[in-house]
Amino acid sequence: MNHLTTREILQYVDGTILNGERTSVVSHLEVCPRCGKEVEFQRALGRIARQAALEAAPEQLKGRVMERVAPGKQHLWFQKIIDNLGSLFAMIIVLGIFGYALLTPTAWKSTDQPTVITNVLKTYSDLYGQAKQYLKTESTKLQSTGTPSSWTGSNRLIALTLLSLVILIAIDGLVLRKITKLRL
Amino acid sequence: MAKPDEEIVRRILAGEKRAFGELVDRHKDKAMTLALRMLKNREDAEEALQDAFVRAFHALPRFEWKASFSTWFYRIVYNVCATTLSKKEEGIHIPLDEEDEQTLELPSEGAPPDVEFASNEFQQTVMEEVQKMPQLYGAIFTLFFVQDMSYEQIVEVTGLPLGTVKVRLFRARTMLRSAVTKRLGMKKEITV
Repeated sequence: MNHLTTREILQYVDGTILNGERTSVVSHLEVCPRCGKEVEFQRALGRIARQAALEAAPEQLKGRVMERVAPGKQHLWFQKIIDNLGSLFAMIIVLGIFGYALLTPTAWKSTDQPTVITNVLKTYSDLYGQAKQYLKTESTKLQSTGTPSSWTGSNRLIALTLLSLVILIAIDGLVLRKITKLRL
Repeated sequence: MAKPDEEIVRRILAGEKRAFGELVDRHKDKAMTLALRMLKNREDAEEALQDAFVRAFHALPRFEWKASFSTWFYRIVYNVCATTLSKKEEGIHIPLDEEDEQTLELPSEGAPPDVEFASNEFQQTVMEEVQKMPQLYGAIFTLFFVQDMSYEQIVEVTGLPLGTVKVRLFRARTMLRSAVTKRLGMKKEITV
């Protein structure tokens, strides 16, 4: 006796067998216990596969998705702080330097034991000096007149603050934002 | 009666973005099952699922109303997982004869073992073998049995030709049958 093929058995189990084939398959099943057993076996496999427990998605999934597609109001203040962490950090440093320079007259004087802050200021000052020198050279080339003859302490302070801002914005954009993004 | 997915989609498109959470709740576990069957790694599956939901949200304005939301969404999940697999260079290598429909015209191999279908042992064995199924067979098997999709819907999700879907699904089922039969048969021999 020729047994039913895999396709005939599976299509019969799924109820997708063509009408023309159905009659012969049913007739065969009436007389063939092996194929009948196969049909029952496949039905049982399908039933268990359908009833098998679903894999649970992580609890935090919904929160993470919603945070990306529709941030809730309750998280806005927190999100803003995180987003601007780099800028806040930069602002604190700049204000710190500015405040230190204003409140400590000796900050600009050289001492025998330089502090970290005076070292940082000195580095900025050097960078600023180089920039100034470059501009001066360029302006001479262009035969322009009226270059500042001297730089007062307040001018230097403003220039240093601006230079600090540029450097810190660069640090913020290139380093801190990337780090905070990675953590999020 | 639960609201149809399409009604929630309309609310989201009308500006009620938070309603997307309802769709996440409805589909996350079934989508997780599909992603895990394809990627075989929980961490990758979670990442793919999150990515799929975010992509679906941004693609909602382009949602084709002729298809059901679930078919449309599972196509995104399937594609994200397939991309993850290809990035990991774990594309599925299917031997040519595996795709040959003629092999399905052969009689089934031997009689199935005598087992009690309601027994825990049988159910446990089936579930374990379903999880072990090779990736793309597992995906089609999951779409058919877990998502309860028709061949035509699976074609829409996977983009595979109907003949390939049928063959892969039949192949997945014969693989499962062989694996379960082998395990239960071997156990019987050991106990004898």
